[in-house]
Amino acid sequence: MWTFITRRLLYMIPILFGVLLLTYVIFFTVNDPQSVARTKLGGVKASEAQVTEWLVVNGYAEYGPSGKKKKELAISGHGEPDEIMVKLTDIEMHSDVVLFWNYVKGLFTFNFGKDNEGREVSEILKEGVIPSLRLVLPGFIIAQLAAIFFALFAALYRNTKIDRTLLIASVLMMSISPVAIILFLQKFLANEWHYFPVCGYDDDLLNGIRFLALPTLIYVVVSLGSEIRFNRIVILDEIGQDYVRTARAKGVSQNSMLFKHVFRNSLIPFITHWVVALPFLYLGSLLLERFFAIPGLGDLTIRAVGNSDVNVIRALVFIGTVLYMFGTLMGDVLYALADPRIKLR
Amino acid sequence: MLHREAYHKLRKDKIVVVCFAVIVVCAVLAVIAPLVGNPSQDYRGIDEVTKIERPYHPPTLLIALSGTANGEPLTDEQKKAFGEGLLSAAAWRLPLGADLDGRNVLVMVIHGLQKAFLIGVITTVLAILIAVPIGAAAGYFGGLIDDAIVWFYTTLASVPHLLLLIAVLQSVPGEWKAKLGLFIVLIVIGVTTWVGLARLIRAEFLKHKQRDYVLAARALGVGHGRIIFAHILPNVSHLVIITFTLGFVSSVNLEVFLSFVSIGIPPSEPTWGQMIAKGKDELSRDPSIWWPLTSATVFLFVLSLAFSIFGDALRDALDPKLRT
Repeated sequence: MWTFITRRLLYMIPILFGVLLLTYVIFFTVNDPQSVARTKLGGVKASEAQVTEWLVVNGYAEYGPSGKKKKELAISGHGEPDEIMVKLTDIEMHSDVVLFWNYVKGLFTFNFGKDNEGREVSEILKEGVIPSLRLVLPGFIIAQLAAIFFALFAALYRNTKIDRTLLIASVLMMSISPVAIILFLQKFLANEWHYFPVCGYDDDLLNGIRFLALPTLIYVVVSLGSEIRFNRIVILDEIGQDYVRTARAKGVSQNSMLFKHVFRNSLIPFITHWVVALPFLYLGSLLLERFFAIPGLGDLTIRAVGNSDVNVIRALVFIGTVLYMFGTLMGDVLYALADPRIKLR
Repeated sequence: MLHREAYHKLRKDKIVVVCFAVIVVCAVLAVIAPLVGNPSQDYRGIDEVTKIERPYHPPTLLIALSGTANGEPLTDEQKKAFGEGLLSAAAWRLPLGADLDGRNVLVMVIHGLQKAFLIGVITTVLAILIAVPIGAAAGYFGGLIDDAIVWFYTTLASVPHLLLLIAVLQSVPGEWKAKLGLFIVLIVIGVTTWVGLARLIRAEFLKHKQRDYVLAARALGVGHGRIIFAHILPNVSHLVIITFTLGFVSSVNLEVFLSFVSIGIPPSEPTWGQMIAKGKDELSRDPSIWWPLTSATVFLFVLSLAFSIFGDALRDALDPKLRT
């Protein structure tokens, strides 16, 4: 077992390196640093000195000999304004190797830099995790339980009208755009009929339920269709196995077969499915948090995209990737643990 | 490409035939969209039949139920005028109404259908063009080539897809976005969604390269390129068809999401995503203008449903093992 886990962990190293390289290419090489600086500083109005300063402060470059001299002069307070004005010729741009190294170092020490408003990105992320999880974790659990219930129901009545109706209903549900579901449910359940508050969030656990009830409900509605379909296929595959036929031939009742034998064996793919899905929950639901003004990571992501807040996006991509990789690792390990037929190599 | 057996299986299921018909009708509508009208034509002003003035127009059949721009119910006179004018051509100029900018919703939706086909086809074709050679090379040649390709696509698949899309769209230089508009988004979606198909193709090539027919071809001195493309590829082409139908829907839905978080899609494009994104404000105003949002949602729903049912049936008919 341990050899298997060690091998899987070692296998993650080249992948992690690849991810770092890929994100480095996306974030640092596609755009020329100078144009990034100009966009950040407000377009064409940005002066050369401002751009130069920005490049140094944000770690793209360092002052060359002439730049250092100007800085010393500025600190001493004796230089004339145009003597101490730094120019692009006063700095030395870092090579890709140095930039990449600094990028990786920053990520692994959770030093993601500052956002556009000057706050530490790691702080903002910490604040956002709890609201996101409070929205999505209950939703995820409810959706999974409901999906298992309906899937077992469909399997119990397989090849009948009940099964077909459930299947059609789940495909119908999957085909409605989640954006539209959110818009209409919020409009009617909150704005028109006032069953729920329109939006908001409260740190208090009990009082917060009021605000989180409707988004959680919508989360369940949006994810239920595909989950039922997935679970139904898993259970039906299990029903087709030889041991089920043997059990039935031996006289095991339909219900006992389904709920004892088939359900327990279906748990293996279910658990793997959950473990792989769990890391995605940290993002909350991008759209739901936006609509219901929940200050979680999903809302943060959308705001970061709107403000082109690169440091925040970088941090989210990195954390999301690492969590996803550990999720798949855990999925593989649990799968191997739960199913003795899988050879551990 | 489509085996005869699969064809007969598909034809027997009436729902599948209906879905295929829906897809064909949608495709035809998408092609003739420019003939239907100009989506930016402005219809603001007085309603010719009821003589009511308001910036928007409700769908024809709902005019009698809707109020005036201030939310007051229609007078009996206006209702009578509506009833008499119902059969005239003027009443049916805007069958699905017009939005706040006075744009004809039906024309917008049909142009959105055209964009949806553009999005679905370009992204999936691009993904297929990338996935097939890469997956084939990995599976067929094996060894170091395989290791490198598997490393590369595992890396790509390790970044959660939405975050990858956001990251890439975020860093695309502004001048490219200005020049290419919608296409830059299509390219980005295409180059980030090929991994699933590449994995399937690789696995199939691993199996097929040891089959007798491939060994025979190699013994006869057929070149690698010819074996890959002329001998093995036709045997795994069903994967490509299945990926196409199922990838189509997810790309169209992805556009709605991206429009909504307003990244990448220019707001001037008449896509369903933009209609739905705009619908949020139109819905919450009073009196509420719900028809543009509803029309886009319903069309999107019908197209998604037809493609999913057809795609699932196609998959079950061609390769039942692929279900999970």
